[in-house]
Amino acid sequence: MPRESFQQELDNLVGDVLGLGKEVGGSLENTVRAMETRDENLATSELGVDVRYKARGAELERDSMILQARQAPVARDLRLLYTVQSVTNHLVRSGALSEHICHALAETAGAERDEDLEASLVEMARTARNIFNEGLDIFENRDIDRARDLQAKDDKVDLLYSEAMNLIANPSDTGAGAPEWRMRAALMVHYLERIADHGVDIGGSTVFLVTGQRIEDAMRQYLERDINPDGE
Amino acid sequence: MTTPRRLKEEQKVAEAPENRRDERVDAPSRVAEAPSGSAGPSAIGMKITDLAAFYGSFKAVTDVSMDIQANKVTALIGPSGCGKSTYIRCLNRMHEVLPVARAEGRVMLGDQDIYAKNVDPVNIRRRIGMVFQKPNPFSKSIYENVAWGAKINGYRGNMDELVERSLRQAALWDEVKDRLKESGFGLSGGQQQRLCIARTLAVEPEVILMDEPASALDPVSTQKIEDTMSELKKQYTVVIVTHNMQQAARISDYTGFFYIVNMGDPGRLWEFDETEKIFSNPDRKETEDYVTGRFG
Amino acid sequence: MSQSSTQVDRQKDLGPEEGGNFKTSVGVRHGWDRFFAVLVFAATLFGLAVLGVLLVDVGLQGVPAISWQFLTSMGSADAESAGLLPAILGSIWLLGIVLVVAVPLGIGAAIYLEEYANDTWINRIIEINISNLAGVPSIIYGLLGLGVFVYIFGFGRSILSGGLILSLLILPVIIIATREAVRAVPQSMREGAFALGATRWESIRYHVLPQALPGALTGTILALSRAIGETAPLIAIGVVPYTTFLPEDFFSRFTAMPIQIYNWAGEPEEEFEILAAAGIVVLMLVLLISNAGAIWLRNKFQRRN
Repeated sequence: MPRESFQQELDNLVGDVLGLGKEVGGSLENTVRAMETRDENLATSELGVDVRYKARGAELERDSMILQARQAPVARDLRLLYTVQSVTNHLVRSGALSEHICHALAETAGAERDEDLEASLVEMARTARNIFNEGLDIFENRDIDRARDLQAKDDKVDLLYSEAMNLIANPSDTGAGAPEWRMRAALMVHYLERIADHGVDIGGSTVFLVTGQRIEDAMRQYLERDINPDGE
Repeated sequence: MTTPRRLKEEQKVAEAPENRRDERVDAPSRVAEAPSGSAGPSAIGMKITDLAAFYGSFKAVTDVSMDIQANKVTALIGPSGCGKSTYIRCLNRMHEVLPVARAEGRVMLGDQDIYAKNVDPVNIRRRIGMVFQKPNPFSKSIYENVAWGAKINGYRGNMDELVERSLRQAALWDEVKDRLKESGFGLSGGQQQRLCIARTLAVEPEVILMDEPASALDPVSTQKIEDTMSELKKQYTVVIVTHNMQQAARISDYTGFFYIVNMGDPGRLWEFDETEKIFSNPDRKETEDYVTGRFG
Repeated sequence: MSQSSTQVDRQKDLGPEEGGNFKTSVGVRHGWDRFFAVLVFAATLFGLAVLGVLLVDVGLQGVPAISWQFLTSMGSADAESAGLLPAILGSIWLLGIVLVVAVPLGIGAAIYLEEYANDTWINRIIEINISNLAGVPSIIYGLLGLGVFVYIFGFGRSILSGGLILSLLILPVIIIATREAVRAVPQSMREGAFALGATRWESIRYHVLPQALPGALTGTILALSRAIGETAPLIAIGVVPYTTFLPEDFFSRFTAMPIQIYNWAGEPEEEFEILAAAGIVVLMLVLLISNAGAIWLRNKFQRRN
């Protein structure tokens, strides 16, 4: 096949991105478990991991730019390079946010917690992790039908976000927990919502990669489509 | 470099009564001429409908329909042997110069069908000029190269001015102004090609066709020619066949992709759209395979 | 990807005589190279040597006999007073007729056949026949001319008949040479002209013909040289051995240099042999001058292009 070595380089680049994605996914997994089991050691082990992710992200950016300079990509190759850079950015940010959450957990290890709020946080964390993994999976398999559904799941996250913010404003009857924990809980809500967003955007980028259309335009076209073309 | 002010001055000179072109005496019909001597923007586009081209009984091109927008550059790309060169030569009736070649279909230049029964191809070829792949200057002086076409078409204006204007438009004037009497062959390949462009401009065409004009040239010459094309489209309509996809992407406004499904089939127009669409998100798989170099 | 199919194996067949897959010693090949160079040089030398010997022999005999009297006297049965003037003028008249008749016809026909005629079977037959005609022995042309020009047209054994026969003789050669020259003009030049809105005649007149002219002229020069030296067709129409008068008009009887030389060479007396040699020298000089003139003309066209 023509341009085999170029195709190989593109495949390698995508492979590297997916590798980074698996690592960040692993960090997220640890974060969720640390929240579920209140495991201080697990949280501490994640500290500083964002530095590594940023470095990997810079490498991937550079590889991508070199490919663009040398190979003059157009059409789907060009869209792939743009998507790679976009997805890499989402992954690095997600990794950093995950690290920030662990940082917060480690700092408030023994503190008193608001149990309702904590439960809500844990659910948010699980949802965010699932959405992130889903987005990455969509990118790996180029499965754009699921990307549309992922946009819908984003609504669920918004719901959880509202609930959590509500609980922060109104402490439960069982106890508000330590103030320093409560403050960090508010931050964690925010971080988790962002992580979910990144996951959804990874799915959206995949739609651009495959169809050349931004997902918002695709969604709008989908919603505005003529459901009854025969005029029933 | 021709500045806009200079262009306006040249326009005034060209439209002066003494510069109006003589009608060709031996033309069998009076095809409606564009305003003679006008150097202003050409409002003439071309509309091709169901064009097919033959060499004897062999059909080389089939079913091509396209709109060529005035004052824009339209690029034609596609793998070798899919009829692009044959097609473009049908647009100024050069194809039929070969004894066994013919074309069918309608090709409108403005509101004239150039294949209509009483149309003189000689006249058409002045209005639709052509620059070829390999520079082919005449074995005459640089001045004569540019002036000859205008002379035989009965130009009655100031020939010196015409030659200078044409050479300037082709971005060659500064390099040759002191050696107009020297042979055209003494120029480099890139200069020769610009000389060919200048002589085409001297007969004041409305459309300029270019069949891989830079494929035989080095990168610097190629760049100069591409810059020239960007200037030319302000006054003319340009159609270019090119094998160089980056070139098509750089300079054209519209791109047409020609394709053959099986060996021995006639070539056809597979996709035609704005250049930015063809190179970022084409509709058809074969187009995308071709522009990304995955062909073959 | 398998290694064996595209890898070059440089280890094979290493030995003192061979370096890898190719023989290193090229001495034998250079030997053949030199051998053939010598061979083709010798072939050239042979031709030149024979020509040189002939010219020297003729020159030694003939040059002393060339005098003003020789060049300006009429023919005579007496070797002392015989001169070449009528023959020289006769040849010049013939050349003139051939130039006026054969050259335009030949070049015109060639242009038509190359530029205007379609590639039909008729055209191809014509092409083959022209090549054949170029090889027909000149005596045949003489007999043809005898029948057509001398008798049917009634021109008699005149200089007009002679000129027309020679024209027919060299016409195919001119056509072929001009056709080759026209064919050698690249199609791209014509296309360049057409693309500017030129008619076919305009492309021919301003581009094809000027470019083809040097080549066409070369062929024409060769043809004219041949015409000056042709003896057989003139004999066939009964050109007299010598004349005591100069040609006055196209219908005069005449003689030409080759005929005169031929006749002198046939006389038994040694004086005539010397005259023949002298005639040959003059003929060669005339040929040389006309060739040189034509080459100068051709170079002038080439430089202008």
